Amino acid sequence: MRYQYKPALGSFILFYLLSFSSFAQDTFNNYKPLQSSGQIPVDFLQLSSEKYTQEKNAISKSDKAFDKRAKKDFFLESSFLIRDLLYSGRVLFNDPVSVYINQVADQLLAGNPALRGKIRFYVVKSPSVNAFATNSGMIFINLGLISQTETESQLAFILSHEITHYLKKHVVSQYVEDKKIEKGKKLYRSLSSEDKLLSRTNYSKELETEADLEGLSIFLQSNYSTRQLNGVFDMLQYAYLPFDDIPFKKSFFESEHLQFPATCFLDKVKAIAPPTDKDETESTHPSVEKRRAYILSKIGKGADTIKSDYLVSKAAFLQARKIARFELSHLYLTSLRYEKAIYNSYLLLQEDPNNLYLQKNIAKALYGLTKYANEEAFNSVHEDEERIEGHSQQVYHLFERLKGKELNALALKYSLDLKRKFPTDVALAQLSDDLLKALVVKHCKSEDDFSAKPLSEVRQGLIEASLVDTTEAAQRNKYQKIAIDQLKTQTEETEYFIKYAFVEDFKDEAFAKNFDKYLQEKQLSTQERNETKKQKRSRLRAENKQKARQERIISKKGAALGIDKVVMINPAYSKIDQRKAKSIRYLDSESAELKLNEQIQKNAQLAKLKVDIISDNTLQSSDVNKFNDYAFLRTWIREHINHLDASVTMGNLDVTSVQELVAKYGTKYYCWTGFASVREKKRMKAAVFFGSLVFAPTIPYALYYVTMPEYDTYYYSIVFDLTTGKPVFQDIQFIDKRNSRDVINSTVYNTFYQLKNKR
Amino acid sequence: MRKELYSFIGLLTLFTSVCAAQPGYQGKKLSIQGSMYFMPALVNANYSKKSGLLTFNTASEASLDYVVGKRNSLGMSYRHARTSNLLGEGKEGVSPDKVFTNSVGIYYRLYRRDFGNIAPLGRYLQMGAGMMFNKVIEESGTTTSFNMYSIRVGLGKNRVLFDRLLVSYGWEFAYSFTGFNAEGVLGATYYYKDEAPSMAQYRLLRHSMLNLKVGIGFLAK
Repeated sequence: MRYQYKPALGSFILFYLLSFSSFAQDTFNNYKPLQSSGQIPVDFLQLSSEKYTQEKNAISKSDKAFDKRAKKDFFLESSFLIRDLLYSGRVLFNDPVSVYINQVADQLLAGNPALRGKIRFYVVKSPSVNAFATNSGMIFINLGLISQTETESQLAFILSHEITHYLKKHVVSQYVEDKKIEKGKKLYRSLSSEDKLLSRTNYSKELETEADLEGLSIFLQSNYSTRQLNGVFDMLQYAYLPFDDIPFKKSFFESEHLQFPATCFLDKVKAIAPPTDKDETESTHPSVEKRRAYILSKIGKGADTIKSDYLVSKAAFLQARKIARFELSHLYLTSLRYEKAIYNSYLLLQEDPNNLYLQKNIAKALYGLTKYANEEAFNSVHEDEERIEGHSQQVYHLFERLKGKELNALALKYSLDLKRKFPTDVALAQLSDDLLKALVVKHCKSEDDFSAKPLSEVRQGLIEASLVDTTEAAQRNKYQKIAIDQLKTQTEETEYFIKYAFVEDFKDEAFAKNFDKYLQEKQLSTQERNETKKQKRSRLRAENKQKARQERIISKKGAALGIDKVVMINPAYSKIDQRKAKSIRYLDSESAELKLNEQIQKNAQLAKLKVDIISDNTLQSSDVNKFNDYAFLRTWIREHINHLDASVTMGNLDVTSVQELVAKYGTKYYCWTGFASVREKKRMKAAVFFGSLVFAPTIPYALYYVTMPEYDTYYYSIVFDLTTGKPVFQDIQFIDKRNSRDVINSTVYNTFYQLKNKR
Repeated sequence: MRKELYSFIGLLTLFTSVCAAQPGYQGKKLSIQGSMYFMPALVNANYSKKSGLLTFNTASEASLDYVVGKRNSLGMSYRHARTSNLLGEGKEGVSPDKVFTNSVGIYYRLYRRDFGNIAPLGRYLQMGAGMMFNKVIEESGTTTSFNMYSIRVGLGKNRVLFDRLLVSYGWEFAYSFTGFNAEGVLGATYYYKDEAPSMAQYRLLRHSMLNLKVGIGFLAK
């Protein structure tokens, strides 16, 4: 009977896998970055002050006074920092990868349900190969780590290592020990700063070793096989490399009419450094080779042949890892590591050569590199090729070699080709148009910069034109042949390799028309530069007049943008007291932040401006959609603030997500705002006071200086137009005052007034 | 006087129509305020007491202020003060002359360009002018009335409490004179032939010369 079921079962599995894989293929082709789902976990909803009170109350009464104080400090700092992480827009819950990680944890801790109930696993959208545990039982696993694992059992081993950190309360122990070292308590008395550093790292290494060994015990109690554990240490050894290392083909960006010169590609890439067992003094972890040695010695050989590398399922592991790898492409993009994004996408394209998401990521990365290169800020997004090992170095070398115009042309060519494949894609159309405009306006001198005819045709034309008589090839004499060969070589040497890149594209009427349009615009501005002195003076006068008029209007009415609705993203409030060693006043900052939300609402009402606040402290457990919007906007704003810092104007690359948000909230204006209040540390108080005694009339001033506190308040408010990616309003102020309620209200109202008011 | 009042109203109307688009404090631009100007009566008696460290010469003021720009406001004020002029100080049985003044004035406030100063909140420089209607009542019962002009410059700071209450403090320097004729003020030749009014005039000059100010008001609209 059993055998009769086999084919049926096999067919069912085959059918299931096929349908799964076809669904997955489609999902990955139209891949959308991961989002959280379901109810928002309690960890996210509890205020940091509440968490701090809970943890503080749990401190053992038998602890020594110093330890108690250090633990209190730790709980205060960590509860706020963890909340910052939870609301950084990077932490996920109930998404497919988190669900899978929790399933692995279920398998790992199947024998210890009580412990399982205490631990919560969250996935972090970060490309770094890392995982970390908190004192309260939250364990964070980076997507970068998941993307590099080879089997589910490897993942389970890493989880068990982190579980040990939680069980043994390593984080708080390390903090208390660091404090003891810092203050020179007991054994650490009269140590030099180098010895203190050494003591700190040694203690950390002890904890890591304990986490490895105790983690292994947890792991061994599960049904996971130890066969692949050696691979964990390979992964850690080469965590700085991409998830795979394959040659980057020169032909990848090339086409019939765009061929790179040989200098753009390396004959040989830098070899990957061999593993080392050197235990670095300043490292918080023992060397990977040491860890490998003691773990492998504990495992022994062939002990668990009945155990498995996959307890959830291999398909689920591969799916989660693939998602993680797909996420990396996007993460590198948003963190402006464009070359990494290109190589990561290139690796993934080997499996899905026509994947739209990956190709679009490459187009966006090329766009980003071009924009930074055009604004002379290329080095802020480019990594030195000398520091790169393995085949990915080829990508860094290529972009280091390409000049601004060449890079712009390559980016345009890639996005045009992609647009031709996916003509309905709005983002690609925008990207291509922006790149074409940049290429023409920034780099083109004349229409001859790019040719509409292929090189072969141009060369033939030159040859024909150079011959006085149109002698047949067979009848040419020796000198005619030499002249023709020389002409061929000459054209090859002198012609710019990107000149013929758009031969195919010039056949497209819209492209040719836009090219001419931008060239005309450019020529108009060039003509301005060629004008006579008188013409120039009169033009400048008119421009200055117009500028002065604008300034007058702005000074009278402010920016006067006529905006009806704004969405405020997590209005922040930090209180800092520079007189104290722990200068951040976490608890005060939290209550000030809660009040700020109320003040924003009130001032918005008074200014008749519609305002939605998406903030960590306005969310309820059912607000998962709002949480996802918040996470997207935090990332989007972080990325665009980086562009602003580098003075680079980038278009909006997330067209679909942005359109959805604009429709959902009924506005395209999103504001990033906050206050920081600083109580200054007054210096030389005694000197000022005693100095004043020398000259009596200065005594009142000295008394004032000595007794009166000095406060400064900082305010920032940047409003972005989400559809263009550009800031439409910026107000960054230093307020030489205390952060009193009236100052906050007045400042916030003034911003809203400028946004709402019309010219 | 009427002319000045008309000029002020004209200016106010012009500013409020042209520059109406100013934030004010949460949209509130008009404020009504009561202020007290004071200075210890160290060398002169005040209205009822002899000079001393804890004796003050005071003036009370009611003012109307309207924000016309992000850093500008215009206002008008009415001020009343009384003091005494002890001509025969040291002589037994001599009681001081009583001096009264009522003044109306206009002023312009320029809020500092420092960030965080948005009228009517923050530090300001105030410049103004006033017309003083004075009266001196001598011991004999003789009453003399006379007018003076004053120009005033002051520095101050406004704070807003509970989004409505305006608290103000600062100091003011004022220079008062009888006419646009310098010698009439400096005491070389008194404008009045009689000693009492001319001394009262001098007294008022000193009374208003330097004063500290505290005020409280509310943001009306």
